[in-house]
Amino acid sequence: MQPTKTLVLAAAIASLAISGAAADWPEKPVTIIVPWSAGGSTDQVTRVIAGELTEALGQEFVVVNQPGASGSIGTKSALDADKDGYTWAAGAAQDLGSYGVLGMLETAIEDWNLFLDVANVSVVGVNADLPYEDMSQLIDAMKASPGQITVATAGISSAGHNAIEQIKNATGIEYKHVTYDGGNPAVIATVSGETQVTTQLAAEQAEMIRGGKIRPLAVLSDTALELDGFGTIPPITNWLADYKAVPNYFGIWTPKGVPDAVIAKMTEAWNSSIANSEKLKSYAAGRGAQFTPFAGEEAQARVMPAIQAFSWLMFDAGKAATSPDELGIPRP
Amino acid sequence: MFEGLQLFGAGLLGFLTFSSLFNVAWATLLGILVGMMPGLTATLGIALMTTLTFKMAPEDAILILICMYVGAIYGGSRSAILLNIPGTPASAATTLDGFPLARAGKAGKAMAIATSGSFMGSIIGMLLLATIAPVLANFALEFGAFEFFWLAVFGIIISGHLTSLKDPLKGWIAGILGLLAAMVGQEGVHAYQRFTFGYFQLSGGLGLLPALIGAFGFAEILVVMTDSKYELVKSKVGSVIPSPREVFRYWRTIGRSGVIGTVMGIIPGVGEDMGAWASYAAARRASKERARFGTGSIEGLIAAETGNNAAVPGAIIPVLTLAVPGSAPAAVLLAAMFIHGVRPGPLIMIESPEFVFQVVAMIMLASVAILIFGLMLTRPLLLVLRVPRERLMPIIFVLCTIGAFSIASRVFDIWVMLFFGIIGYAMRRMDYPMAPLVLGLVLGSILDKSLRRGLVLTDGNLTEFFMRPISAVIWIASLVVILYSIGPFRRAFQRLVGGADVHAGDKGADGG
Amino acid sequence: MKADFVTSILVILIGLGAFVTSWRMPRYENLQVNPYTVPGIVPGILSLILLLLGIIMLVRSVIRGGWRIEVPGVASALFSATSGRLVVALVLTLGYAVVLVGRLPYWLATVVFMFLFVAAYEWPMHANRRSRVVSLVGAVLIAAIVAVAVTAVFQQVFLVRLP
Repeated sequence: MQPTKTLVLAAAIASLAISGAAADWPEKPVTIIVPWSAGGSTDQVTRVIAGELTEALGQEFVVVNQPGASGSIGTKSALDADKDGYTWAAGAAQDLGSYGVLGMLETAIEDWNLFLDVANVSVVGVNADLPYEDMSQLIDAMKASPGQITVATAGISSAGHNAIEQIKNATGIEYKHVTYDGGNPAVIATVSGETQVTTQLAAEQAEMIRGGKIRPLAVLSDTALELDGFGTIPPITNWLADYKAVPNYFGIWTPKGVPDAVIAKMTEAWNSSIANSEKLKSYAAGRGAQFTPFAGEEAQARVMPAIQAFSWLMFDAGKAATSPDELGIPRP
Repeated sequence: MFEGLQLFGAGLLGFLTFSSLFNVAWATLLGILVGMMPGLTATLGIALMTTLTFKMAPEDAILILICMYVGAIYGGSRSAILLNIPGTPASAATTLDGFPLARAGKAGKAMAIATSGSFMGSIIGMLLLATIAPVLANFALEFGAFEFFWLAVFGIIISGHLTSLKDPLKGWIAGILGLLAAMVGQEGVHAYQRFTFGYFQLSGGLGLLPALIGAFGFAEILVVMTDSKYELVKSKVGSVIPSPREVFRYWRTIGRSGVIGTVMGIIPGVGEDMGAWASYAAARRASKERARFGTGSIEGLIAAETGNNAAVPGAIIPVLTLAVPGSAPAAVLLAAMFIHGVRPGPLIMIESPEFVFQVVAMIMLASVAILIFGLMLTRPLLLVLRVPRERLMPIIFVLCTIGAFSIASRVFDIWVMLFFGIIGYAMRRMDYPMAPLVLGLVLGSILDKSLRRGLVLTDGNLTEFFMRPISAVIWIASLVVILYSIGPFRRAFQRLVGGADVHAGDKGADGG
Repeated sequence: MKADFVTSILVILIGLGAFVTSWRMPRYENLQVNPYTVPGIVPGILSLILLLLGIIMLVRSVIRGGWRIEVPGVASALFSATSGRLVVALVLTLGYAVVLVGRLPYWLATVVFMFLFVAAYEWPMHANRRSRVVSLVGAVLIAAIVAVAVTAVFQQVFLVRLP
C-alpha cells in the first residue's frame, strides 16, 4: 500500500506543479512539429498559424520539420513528449485518425486536442491539352478504356488517391494509378503530360488552374469551389448525386493529458485571434481552401467522416493492420 | 527586354535604402554562418527565417530569405575547404580540390577563388533567370520519370568516378551502398517499411544530413585524431583578393559551370549538389590540367563553386514561373511566397512581372554581399587553421552532434551521424570515397520512384527509358563514363580519337 | 590489396543480404496492385549490382594475391599506435554523444566532453607539471566558452530545444 500511496501523492504534487506552471503558459518558446518536409501544404499553413499564435500569445511558436513515414514519426514525437503544452504536432486529421488502423502508430483521434485551421478539398483536374471538358466525358473515357487513363496522386493513402478511389467506387471505372512524392509533383506530372488526370488538393493545383495548364472538371464536394483568379469549379454531385463529400481538415494538436489551462488558453486564442486572422483567411482563399477555425468537440465531430471513409477504404483494400471497427471507427 | 531592364532597375532602386541594405547584410552573413556549420543547411535556415520574418512586408521577408539561401550555399564551401567537411551537401564536390589546396598552404587563395566562383555562378544564374526564365521553366517539364531515373544513375556514376579516379570501382560501390541506404524506411508507393527490421525510428529512413555530417565531419575528426603526424601546412596569408587575371583565365569553365549549374537547379528535385557535380565533371572533361583534378586544381574548385551557386537562381526559376521548387531550399522559399500572399506560377509574368525582377535584384544584392563578406571573412577564417587539432576537433564534434540533432530535434539522428562517421572512417582507411555514398542517399528515392513509375507508365516496356531524347543523352553519357574507366575500352577510344593530349592528360585516371 | 580482398567479401555479403531481404518483400499479389510497383524491385536490382561489383573486386584482388593474409601483419595492424589513438577518440566522442548528451544538461555534457578531450590529448604532450597545469586550465576555459557559446547560439538564435 505504502508505495502506491507515495506514488499517488507524487503524481498529485507533480500535476499540481504542472498546472501551476500551466497557468502561465506559454513561458518559453512552443514547438509545433510538422511531420512533413518544409514547404509542403501542411508546412505552409502551419507557419501562418505559428506566426499568428506568436503574436496572440506573446511567445515564439517554432515550427520544426520532422518528416518521414507518412507523418507518423513527427506525430509520435509529439505523442511521446512531456504533456506540458510546449510540444504540438500539425497535419491532416485524416492521417492522424488512421495511423492506428494502418498499424503505424498506436493512437486514435480521441487521444488528441484538435485545433483545426483549414479544410482542403480535392479537385479532378486534367491536362489542358486533353479534350475532356466536363466530368461526364472523363468518366465515359475511363469506362471506354478501363485501366488506361493515368491518374497522378501523392501516393496510396493520400487525399488524391482517396478521391479517385471514391469516384471508382461510385462509378465502377478503372484507372492507372501513378504515384508521386507529394501533391505538387503529381500536379506537375499532369501539367507536363506524363499523366492525364490528377485528383490532388485544390491548394496544390491552384496556380496551374489559374495559369490554364490544368482544366478543373469537378471539386469533390457538395458545393462549388470559388477559386480566386479563376472562377467556379462545379461540385462532383452535379454528376454523381449520392457522392459523399468528406473535407480533409488540417490543424494543430496536442495529446490529451496536457493541462486544462493550456487548452483553455489555446481555445481562447483560437476563437479570438485565429478565427479573425486576415492572413489566414487570404491564405485560404488564395489556395482554394476553406477557412475552418474549429476546436474542441466541434473539431472532433467534423474530422470523423474523413477518418471513417479513409479507414474503411484502406481496410477494404487489404491495407489495414487493424479493423476500424475494433478502434471504434464505424463504417460510414 | 527593355521593359525588363526598366523593371529590374526599379526593383534594384527600391532596395537601395538603408533598411533593405541592412537586411541584405545581416541575412547574407547569417546565411554564410549557417552554411559553414555542419548540420545547419540552407533549407533549415530559410525555414527558420520564414517564421521570424512572418510579420515583415513581403518584399523585405523574401529579400531576407533569398540572401539567406545564396549565403548558405556559398558558406558551405568555407568548411569544405578549411576542414574537408562540406557545410551543406552542395559543397561535397568542393572538398575534392579545395581541401588539397588548403593542405598545400593555399587556403586563403582557395577561399578567394571559391568566392569569386560563387559570385560569378550566382550572376550567371541570375542573368538566365532575368532573360529566358519562361523558356527554361518549360525545360523542367521535360523531365519525367525516365529522365529522373537516368539522372540519378548518371549522378552516381560521375560522382563515383570523380571521387575515386584511381579506382572508380570503389566509388561506384560507395554510390550503390548509398542508394541502398536510401531504401531504408517506409517507401512511397505502398508504405511498406523496407530494411527497418521492426525498428520504429528507422521507418523514417536514414536522414541525409546526419549521414553527411557523420560521413564527412565525424569521419574527418577520427582521421585527424588517429593520424600521428597530421600537420596542416601553415597557410601563407598572402593575398586573399583573387587576381582578376587568374579568375579570367578560367572564363570558359566559369561560363560552362554557370549554365550547367543553372540547368541542374531548374530540374525539380535535383538541386545544388548535382549542379556542383555535373559542372565539376564537365570541367574535368574539358580541362587541359585534367591530371590535377582532385589534387588541388583551381579550375576544379571554380567549377564546383560556380556550379552550386548557379543552381540557386536556377532553382528559383521554376519557383517563379511554375510554382514548382527546383530544390529543397527553394521549396521553402516557395512556401514563404505563398504565406506572404505572393502568387508565383504560370501567370506571374503577366500578373506581376515587377516581382520577378525584384527577385532578380534580390539575387544580385545577395551575390554582391557574398563577394564582399567572402573576401572580408577570408583572413579571420584562416585563423581556424591555427587552432591546434586537439582543440579544434572537439569543437567540431560538438557542432556535429548538435547539428545532427537540430535538423529535426531527434536523438536518433545523432546515432545516424555516429554510424555514418564510423562507416566513413573505415571506408576512408580502405580508400573508398564518401561523396558518392552521400549523393546516393540524395538520389536513392528519386531512382526508386522514377523507375517504378516509369515501368507503370509504360507497362514494363523499357524502350521508353532508352529512346526519349533527354534520356538517351544521359544514359549514353553514363555508359561512356563507365566504358572509359575500363582499360581496354579507354585505350581503344584513345586510338580512335588519336589525340595525344587525351592520353597525356588522363594519366591520373589510369585505373589498375 | 588485402584490404580489397576483405572489403570485397563484405560487399558481397551486404549485397546477398540485401537481395534476400528484397526478395522477401511483399508483392501484394492478392491486392491487384500493379506488379511494377512492388517495394522489392529497386533494392533487389541495386543489391544485384552491388553483388556484381563485389565479385569483380574479389576476382581482381585474388588475381593480385590479396587472399594471402599473414597473421603477424594483421596483429601488428590491430595493436598499432593508430588503433590506440582511434580507441581513445571513439571512447571520447561516443561517450559524449551517446552517454552524456540527454543525461546531463546539454551545456554540462559539453563542458565535460570538451575538457576531457583536450586534456586527454594534451596531457602526453607536456613534460613537466607546470605546463600540464597550464594546459588543463586552458582546457577548462575552452570547454566553458564553447559550451556557453554553442548553447546560446543554438537555443537563442536558432530556437533549437537542446537535448
